[in-house]
This record gives sequence, C-alpha cells and structure tokens, in this order.
Amino acid sequence: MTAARFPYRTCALCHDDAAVAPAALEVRDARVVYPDEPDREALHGVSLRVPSGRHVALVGPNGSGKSTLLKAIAGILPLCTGEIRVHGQPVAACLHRVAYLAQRGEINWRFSVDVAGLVMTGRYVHLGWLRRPGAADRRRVVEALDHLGITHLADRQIGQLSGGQQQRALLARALVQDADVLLLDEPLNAVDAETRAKVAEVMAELRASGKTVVAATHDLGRLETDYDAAVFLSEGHEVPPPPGAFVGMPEALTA
Amino acid sequence: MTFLLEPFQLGFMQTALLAALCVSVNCAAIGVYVVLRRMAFIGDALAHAILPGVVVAYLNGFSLLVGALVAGLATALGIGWLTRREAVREDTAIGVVFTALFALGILLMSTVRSFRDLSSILFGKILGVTGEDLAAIALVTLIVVVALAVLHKELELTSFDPTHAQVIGLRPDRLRYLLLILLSFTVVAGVQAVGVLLTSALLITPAAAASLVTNRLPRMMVIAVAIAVVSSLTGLYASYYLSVASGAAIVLACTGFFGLAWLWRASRATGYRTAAQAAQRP
Repeated sequence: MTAARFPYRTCALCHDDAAVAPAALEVRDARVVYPDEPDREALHGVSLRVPSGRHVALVGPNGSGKSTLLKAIAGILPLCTGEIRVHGQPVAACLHRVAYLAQRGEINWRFSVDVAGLVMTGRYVHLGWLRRPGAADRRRVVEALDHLGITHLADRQIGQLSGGQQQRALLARALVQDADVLLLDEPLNAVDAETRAKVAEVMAELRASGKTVVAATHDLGRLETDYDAAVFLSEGHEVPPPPGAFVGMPEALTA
Repeated sequence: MTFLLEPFQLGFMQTALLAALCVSVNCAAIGVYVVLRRMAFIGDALAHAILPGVVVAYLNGFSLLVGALVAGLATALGIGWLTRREAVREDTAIGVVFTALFALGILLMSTVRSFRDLSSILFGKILGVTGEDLAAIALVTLIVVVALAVLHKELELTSFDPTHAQVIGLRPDRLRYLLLILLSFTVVAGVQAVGVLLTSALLITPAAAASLVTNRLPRMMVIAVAIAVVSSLTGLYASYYLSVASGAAIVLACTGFFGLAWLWRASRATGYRTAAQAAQRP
C-alpha cells in the first residue's frame, strides 16, 4: 500500500502497525445533533463495540439513527458528547482505513464523470494532493469493476446507470480504498437481483479477508447469512430486538 | 491569407489577440466548473460586482485591474460566506448583493464627468488593452490554469461527491472558496475583453456548448477552450473588417457555437429515437 506524499490529512497511526487495537470500532455514548435542527437529537447516546473482522448490522426504521451513526464513525458528523474510536484512534485519525458507502442520493449523478472515474476516487485517499493515479491504481480499478460485473459500463457517464449498477460502482469504489473497516449505508436499498447477489458475494469475501463491516440495513432476510450480530435502533436509541428477530451472537460484540 | 494576417500587422491588434486568447482559455476552462456546479449566476454576479472597485480605483488613480481584483475577491468571499448555510437562499443572497454593488458602481460612475473611460468597463475594450494589462491578464490566466490542472482531481470530486471528499479528509467548503477566488481572477480578465455585462457569457456559453458534445470533464475543457479561442478570433476579425463592437462579436460567435452544439445534440437524439423505433418494429 502506497502512502500519500502530501496526504489530505496526516495520519500518525499508519507509521505504527503495532498500534492496532483489538477492537476495530468502539462507540461510547455517542450523541449527535444536526446543526440545522439543534432541538432534535439524532443519536441519544449509543454504545457499540465491534471486534476486528466482525460484521454487524444496524437495523431500524427510517430516522432511527443508523445513517447518523455511520456518518459519525466516518467523521462527517461531529459528536456532541461521547467517543468513537477506530482501531483505538479518534475518528478520522486514519482515513484510508475506513471506507464509507453513502446512500446514492449524496452524489450528483448528472456530473460529467464516468464509472471508472468514480471508482478511481476510492484511490484518492492514498494519493493525496498533487499525485495522479498511476498504473497500480488503474489496475486496482479494473479489477474492482470486473469483480462487480460492471466492466462493460466503465466508460458510461454515471447517470446512465440503473440504481443497482450505481450501487455496484459505489461498492467497487469502497473496495479499491483497501480499508479495514467498511461502513455501508443501505447497500441493498432498491437494487436488482443481480446486484443483491454481487453484494452478498462481496460480503462473503470481506468476511474471508477479515474486514470489519458495519452496515445499516432494512433487509432482515439477509441478516443471518451476512452478519455476526444485529443491533436494533429506534429514534436514536439502541432498543432490545423485537421478538423472534435475528440477534446473531451478542458475544460477537464483546469478544 | 492576407485577409487573415493583415489585421495583426498592427501592434494594438497583436496585443488584443494575445489578450483575447488568454481570456478565452481562462474563462472557458473554469467555465466548465461554473456550468457543472451550477454557478452561472455567481459568475455573472462577480462580473457585475467588480464595477465599484474599478470606479473607486479610477477616481483615486490606482490601477483599474487592482481595483477590480480587490472588489472581485471581496465579492467572492462575501458570496461564500453568505451561502455557506441555507439561511438565505443562495440565488436570493447573490441577487441582493450583486445588484447593490453594481448600483453602487453606477452611482460612483455618475459622479465622474466623463463616462468614456468607464464605459469600456461595461462593454469591454479589447482593442485598447495595454502591454501592462496584457501582462496582468496573462499572469491571471497562468494562475487559474495551473490551479485547475494541479487540483483537478480534488475539484472534480468535491463537485460531484462532497461527502466522499469529506470522508477522505478534503474540505469541500475550502475548495469552493478557492474556486470562487479563481473565478474572481477570471472575471477580472474577462471584463477586459468583453466588459462587465458580457463576461458571464464567456464563462458559460463555451462550457455549455462543450457540455452538449461530451460528458468527460477534461475533454469538455478542451472543447470549451477551443470554442472560446475560435470565437475570440472571429470577434476580432469582425470588429476589424466590419467595425463592430469586439466584445459583442466575440460573445455572439460563442452563441453561434452553442447553437451548432445544440443542433448536433438534437440530431443525435433523433437518430437514436429513429434507431430505437426501427428496432422495435418486427
């Protein structure tokens, strides 16, 4: 893995691999308030511990705080109180170790960029300022496109893709980042069967390669196959699982 | 050949030519971002808002370019500050501020006995560009082009996916400020060529035409620059041989290219539709 010569943000951890803490992710009493709605707390003190290599699903209705929690871990929403540590480091201390797959609405799909260009932006965190993508980066992008079955779409403007194809392009981008922790916001929201199958395949590979995954999901059907444990959220609180729901191995969250 | 070369035997026409080329490259290249990020109104506002700076510089005997640059930068930062939160809608805020500044410029102009010197600010005076102006325009163009080239991947990413940009440690708001500052440089150069009232055409029209022809950003920049350069040449010839206003001729030439791009796009769309209909028939 190449280190950026002029990184967007300097990373102390990368020079010290021994500093990796056992838990990939630790969230302690996280509270978040949206700046434009100061009266409404989006997250009321959620705690979570995800050991390295585990897959955890955040389950709950819209507005339950799943996306907010992922954004806080990704470092794009500041915490009011509480603490989030990724590999023992504060949020955003080591940017390339965390990949965040946002919901599709966050992107301007009409912009003049093609699919290969979109996937390439996943390499930018390794390039930093001034450096341009090289042969190794392009090879990585080609592999990821092939892996997700969208090689034939590489030259397509991103807005000309179906929802499922867009989702696969975003997943390809998350993969080329070579992160240890993947935060996936609704990876299966409104996608076709082919994309579902691809996402499931990628989830299995991520597990095999020991990557940590935290995903917000509606899709209760895939909880048992894709995840070790599920955490249920409602109105910004962690709630007990509904009767009969998959909870996985709660011990997975403490081991 | 003599027809093409004759005008440029004259010194002032050579200076005008070089200035027009610089301005074309500058405006068209950054214009692609203006179009893709929907900042067309901001570009127009910046061009108008530098008027008071120019008039104040004129009244106090400073360089007009410096006056324009200061006013442009102040406006760019003001717009960035006003629109960072959605307290006032962006277009409303810009509309209020830039009309006020333009009015202030007109008010100050009306205190000057002779409007002649300043009317060139409104309508451009490419044929009257001095060697000193040309050096300033060339410098500004160099700064803008180098910045766009060096920060290409960051500017592109923050334009279509600010969330990912933020996740990997970029500051989309700072890059937006940078773009506004570069835009104010550009506008100051553009005003020399086509004036306050038409600068936004030079920013928007070539880029808009290019966006109809391709959907790759680097290619779009090259096409936009080519259109602007050819339009500037056309405008200069028109003003030499037909004695018409050079700024207006340059802008109308750009518009002509936009029309062509539009027709090309429309013909392709019809082509696809016919092909699709043909494919549907058994």
